[in-house]
Amino acid sequence: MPERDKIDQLIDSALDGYAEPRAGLEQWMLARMATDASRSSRRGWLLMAIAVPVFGALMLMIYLAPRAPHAQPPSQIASTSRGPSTTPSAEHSVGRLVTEPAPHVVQSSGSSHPIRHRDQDVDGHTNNPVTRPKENIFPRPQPMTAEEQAMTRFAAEASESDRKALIEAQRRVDEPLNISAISIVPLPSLEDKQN
Amino acid sequence: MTIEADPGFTALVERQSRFVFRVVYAVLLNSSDAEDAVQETFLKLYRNHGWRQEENEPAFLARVAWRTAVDLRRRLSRSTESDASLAIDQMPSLQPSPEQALTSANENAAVHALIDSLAEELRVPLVLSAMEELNSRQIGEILGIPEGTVRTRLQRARQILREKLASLMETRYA
Repeated sequence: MPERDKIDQLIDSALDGYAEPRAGLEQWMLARMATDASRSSRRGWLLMAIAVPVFGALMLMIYLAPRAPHAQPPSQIASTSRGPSTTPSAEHSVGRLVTEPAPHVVQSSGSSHPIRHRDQDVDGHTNNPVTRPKENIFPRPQPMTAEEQAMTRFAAEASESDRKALIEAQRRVDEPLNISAISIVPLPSLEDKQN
Repeated sequence: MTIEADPGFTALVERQSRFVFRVVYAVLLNSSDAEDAVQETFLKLYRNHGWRQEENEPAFLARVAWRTAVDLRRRLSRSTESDASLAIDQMPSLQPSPEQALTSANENAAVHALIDSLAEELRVPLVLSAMEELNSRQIGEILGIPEGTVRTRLQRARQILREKLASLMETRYA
């Protein structure tokens, strides 16, 4: 079929020339990509110029922010809350107690009650620990105030009876006041009076 | 390292730009969009260092180019859907119709217009098959279809072109 052969040749030759790009496409493409690449590179530098200082500032803020006190194992808490320790770290423990939140009752492991951790209240809720700045130098003892000096002098010089009287007076001051209930009797009405 | 300073990549662009253009044009049917797709294809290859792949370079390039063109067409169709210039599509095409091309004795242009009018699933395998570097198996790998399907589609595309061309020629010489 010569007609069919001719059509096939026509199709093949047309397909060879199908979608021919414009002349110099390669150079034009390279130039365009180089421009785009440099533009995106500039954009990348700009992003870096913004991101790096922001990141640095964030890191600085995190570093300078006051740190929360570290968790303390229950055994250590128990030793600090039982009173003065005889171990060499006693001074250290006392110093830590000053910066810690409200003390909690901790019982020994043999007790039927569970150990309550220092950051839990009575109901078992977790309290946010109060963060206080850590002091680099242990605070030195301050000179006594006038009241403290007077108290010391009194304790040294006063007799036994005077000291007992003072303690008794203090106890009375500290005792809760008992106020009896007030009862008001209603006034008799005029008719009752007349009768 | 910049694109110009990379002689290997520059050589690849110079060697394969036309090939990539033809692949993406078969999908997009628009020279301007096809150029954008060519650029996107090469930039993609440059950024992920895919261009260093030495095994079966034409098939690999054609696969990347075809996917890039399909993605670009999807993006373009999304943006034109909301565009008020949609009415432009309804305007008469400036390109000559197959009949006009044939009567002006520009037979190649007539066949090109007929190829453009084919469905994409027939057009893309046909255009890829015209490239000497690709056989039916590679075309199947590029498009993600079996080799047998590629052959069936090629036969179908050629059949349609033959019928339409024969009809046009009959009209012309009648």
